[in-house]
Amino acid sequence: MPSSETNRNGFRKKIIIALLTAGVLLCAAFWYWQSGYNEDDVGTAQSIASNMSKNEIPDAEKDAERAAVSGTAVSGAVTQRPAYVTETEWQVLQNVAKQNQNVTLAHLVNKMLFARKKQAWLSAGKDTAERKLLARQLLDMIPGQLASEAMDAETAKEMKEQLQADVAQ
Amino acid sequence: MKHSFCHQRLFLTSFLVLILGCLLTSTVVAAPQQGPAGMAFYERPSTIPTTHGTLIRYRTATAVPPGGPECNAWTIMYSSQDALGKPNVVTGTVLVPKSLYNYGLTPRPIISYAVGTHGLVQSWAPSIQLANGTDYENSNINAALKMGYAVVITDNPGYTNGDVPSYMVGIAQGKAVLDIVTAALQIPYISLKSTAKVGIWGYSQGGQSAAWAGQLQPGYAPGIKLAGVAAGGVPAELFSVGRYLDGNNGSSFLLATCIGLNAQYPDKILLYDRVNVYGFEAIERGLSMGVFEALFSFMNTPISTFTKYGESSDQIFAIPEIAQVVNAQELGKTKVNAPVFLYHGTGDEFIPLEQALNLKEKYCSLGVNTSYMVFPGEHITTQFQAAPYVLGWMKDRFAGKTAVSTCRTSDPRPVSTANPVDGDFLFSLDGWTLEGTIHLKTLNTNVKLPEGSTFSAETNMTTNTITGSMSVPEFSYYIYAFGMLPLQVKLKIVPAGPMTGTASLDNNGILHIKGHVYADIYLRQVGELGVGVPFSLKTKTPVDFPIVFDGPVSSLGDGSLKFTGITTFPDMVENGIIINALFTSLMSGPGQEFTFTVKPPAPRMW
Repeated sequence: MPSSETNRNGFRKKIIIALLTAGVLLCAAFWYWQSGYNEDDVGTAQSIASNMSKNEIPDAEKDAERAAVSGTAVSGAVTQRPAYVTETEWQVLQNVAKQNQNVTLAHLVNKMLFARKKQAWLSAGKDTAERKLLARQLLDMIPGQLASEAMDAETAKEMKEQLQADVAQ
Repeated sequence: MKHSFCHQRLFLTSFLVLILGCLLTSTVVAAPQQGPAGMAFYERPSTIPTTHGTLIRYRTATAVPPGGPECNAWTIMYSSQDALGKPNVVTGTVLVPKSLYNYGLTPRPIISYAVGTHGLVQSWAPSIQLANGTDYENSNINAALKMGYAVVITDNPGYTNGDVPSYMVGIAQGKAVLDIVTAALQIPYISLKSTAKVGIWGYSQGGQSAAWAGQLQPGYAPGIKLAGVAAGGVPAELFSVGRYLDGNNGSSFLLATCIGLNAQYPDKILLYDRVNVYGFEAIERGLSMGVFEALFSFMNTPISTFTKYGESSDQIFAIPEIAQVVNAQELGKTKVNAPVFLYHGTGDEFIPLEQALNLKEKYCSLGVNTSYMVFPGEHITTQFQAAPYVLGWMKDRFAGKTAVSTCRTSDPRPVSTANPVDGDFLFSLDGWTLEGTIHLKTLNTNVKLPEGSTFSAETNMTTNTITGSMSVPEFSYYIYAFGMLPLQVKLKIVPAGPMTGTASLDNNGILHIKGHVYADIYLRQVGELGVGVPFSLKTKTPVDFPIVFDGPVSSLGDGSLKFTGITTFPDMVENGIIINALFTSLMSGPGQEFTFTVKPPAPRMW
């Protein structure tokens, strides 16, 4: 094969590779744009991910845990972040409520409150006033949890028995 | 001139009279009749047409299997021949999809579907089971109908009123499989064409029938445009099959074979002279049962229980007249003039693999274009798992493509992996493919189990127990709860002990499974854009997935073995105790829907 033809073929190949690369880059850029790239989203997701790291549990979460002990359930349209929900959690719950028509923000907030109170109850020392208080609060919340289908009847029954035992002491 | 004119008139008149006579004769004598309703349809006619493949009577039927395409359906009675060439009558079913086939450009292909063992009682005749929507082979028949093919299904000889099926008499069965094609074309106004390509497909007893039909076709039904023969689980050598079944899980098939052979060759088998009082009773019971009831009723009962002097199958087969009859059923001595697709499950507990592999070699040595597929499962699983492979192969035959033979394979000869068959009836699901989806209620999203997930179980159909486990590799799951960008979570589902429960197969061929799979769910890492942050959450207690299935036995192979249910996810905890409030809110609670589908592993060619 003459060398000029070889050069020409090599040049063609380069052109084709360059065009293909450009095409792939364009497709990638288009896809990224289409998928709704948003700097805020990246920031939120990154901060959520890092906040979830055990080593970096922010004080906010500890504050929220403390606030849950005295926190009360919400109802109707929830517009203000309760103290027992951290800023990060609030964003997540709002997004979930937006995406899922079957759950309300109030249900999600109450489910979080219930989880936090339950953890506080489990962590509280036996026969302490705090444990009794939390047991009572949890007992009061169970019907709401059942109504919003955040808890099933069997779990509710088991938990009620444990909570009532604490309250009775 | 006048004289000549008179001659002409006389000739014309005679000719017209002759034509009219012929028409009248054919109308009165040969024309098929609308059959009566009910069981009167199954009454044998007083005279049997001597031409085999003649339609005797027909009636429209509601025989379309549930879930199948819209069809025109008929139950028919037609003439055939027994193994000795004597005319007999056989009943069957004809199903023709209502949809247009290939835009009407080519005649709709016909599949003559040869059924597996149905049992000797008349109520288990395929045409009756199909009309009731309960035939256990519905799944395969539907699969063929969905391809647009007409499906004709012989009942096999012996299901007319008061008759005894000549079960496992391959020659008679093969003839019935061929004659139903010819007879179906005579149904008034049927859209099928005599130029249609015909495929023959059968499994187990049907595999024997299909292979025999293929062998007989060139001489017996040369008018049929045979495109291919697919035969699976073939009992090709009755001697070795009989010995294998004797006293084992499949003893009922040997008993039924004795009854069936006696129905065709009474002067040679002399069944009633060779059995004891238990044998008489067993014959009566066998004649009154469907296949599944018989399977469990006679399981592990040796034939010596029923023979007059306690003879074993070996001793019985050594009697010259019986040996001659059994030998006459052996396949692979004659060529099939069409491509053949054979298949078998290596775990087959009823029909030994070895003798089926021999059939391939026999056909290959006769120059038959033969391909062989080996499935990993047992007998029933293979029957239904094979359908898409058989129909894919058949589609190519109908399209006129050349079949690829595997006669010259260099792969090692497959070996049997069947469970022991001389004790409890065991049924293994070894490393079956698990596909599954869990719908997380709060997040309103589906978590799909990753590729490589498997389900294994050992079922004991005698004690009705099942134990099993599932294996799910760690996989990534994206939570769309953090703005537009999904957050990647590494998820792991780890069994928290074996699956336990009950499993049974009832007399109607319905499989029942009830049990529980317990699994811990772990969230091990969160991140985005490929960067993960170590993280460790798990469900506080294992999730209880109730596993419940009630459906046809065909589900084992045809991909419809599905477990669906709703479960509750416990709280998500860190370090085993501390409740993670956010993920508990997002993932825990009742109403988590799941679907697990279990499918046998893929087959291979040999």
